[in-house]
Amino acid sequence: MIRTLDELTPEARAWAEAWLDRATAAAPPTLRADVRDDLIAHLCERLDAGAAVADVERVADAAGPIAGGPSTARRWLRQLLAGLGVHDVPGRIAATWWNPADERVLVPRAVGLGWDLNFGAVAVRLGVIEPDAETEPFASTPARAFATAAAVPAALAAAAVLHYAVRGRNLPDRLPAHWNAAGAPDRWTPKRRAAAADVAGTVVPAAVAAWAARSGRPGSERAGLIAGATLFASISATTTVARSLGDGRRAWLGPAMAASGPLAVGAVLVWLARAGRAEEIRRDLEKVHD
Amino acid sequence: MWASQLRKGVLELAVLALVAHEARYGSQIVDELAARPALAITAGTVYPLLARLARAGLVKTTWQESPVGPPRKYYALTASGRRQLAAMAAAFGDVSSALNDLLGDLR
Repeated sequence: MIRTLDELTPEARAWAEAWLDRATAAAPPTLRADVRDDLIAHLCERLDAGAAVADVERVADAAGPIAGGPSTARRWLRQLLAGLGVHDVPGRIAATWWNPADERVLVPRAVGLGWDLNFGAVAVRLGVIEPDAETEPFASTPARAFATAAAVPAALAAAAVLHYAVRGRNLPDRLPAHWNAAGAPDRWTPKRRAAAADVAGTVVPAAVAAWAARSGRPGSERAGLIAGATLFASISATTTVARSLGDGRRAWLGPAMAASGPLAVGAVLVWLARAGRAEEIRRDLEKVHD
Repeated sequence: MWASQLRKGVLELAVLALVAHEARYGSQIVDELAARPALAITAGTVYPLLARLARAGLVKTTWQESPVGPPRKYYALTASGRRQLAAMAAAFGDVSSALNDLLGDLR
């Protein structure tokens, strides 16, 4: 670590300055100085006084392309969300829903008031993972595991689309939209509207999950996005199933609808965490055998 | 209440000292602390602390094959963990001797 770029060799410093000029060119004029300061701090943190041009290049490459910088509107939105305490929602969802080191099964909500289920504590109690299996949850989870997890909402979306495409014609014109506590429909909606809601309710989360799986965001954020998407998709998919049952009272419907979301989310989080654990083990044991 | 606060205060020192002798795995650390009633702390306190120590670079973790059952994650002190342990042990020694001095014949 260095304090200023002056500590670098003249060649490395010249390369860094040229990169800073290029990188900040795309930023809006009002933000350019701030972005430059941030990038200098980024370089200083990761470089030593003896760093060669290649080292600076490596750190600069790892910083990735510098975007045009957030627009004023987006900065305002971010500040507003931070003020309301809802910034970094995906990361916080993952940290709340999956914290195996914490023994508490019910934990204060990630966003808003109330309680969330800590699936990590449940998994530890069921013996499917150790409390310290991952040093940083989902940090070691490989990309292919995220892709597999994102296939869950994708499969639910495909099932919902297929259901309405294949069976749509045979379904009655009006489908249940709400059920009472006994599991009997008490409100109805036109078939088209029900189909649109169920398809959107699974396809949008599936798209979010697919995007998250491929994004270069930190593992906890990807896990949070995929878990949230799985929750929404499974609620929509269960609704599709419930609608297809038509009239009649089914006492198991309420509990089944309430349980399907958490069960799907739990399965996805356990899968992602176990994949991260397996990756950590593979890395450490390979080192031993080398 | 006061005793549990005191235990929590010295827990970090106790865990660093435990893994200073040799690398230990999570449940072993919990068990060894539990074996000392004065230090007995639940797993729910120990595991978050271990994660914090690992994030701070004071301990490093390595999975190792276990002769029985699945692999285990071992915790060992890093160089900066060793420095931290020395500093904490010295501070604890100072507090302890000052208190012993104060308590003297009251006990």
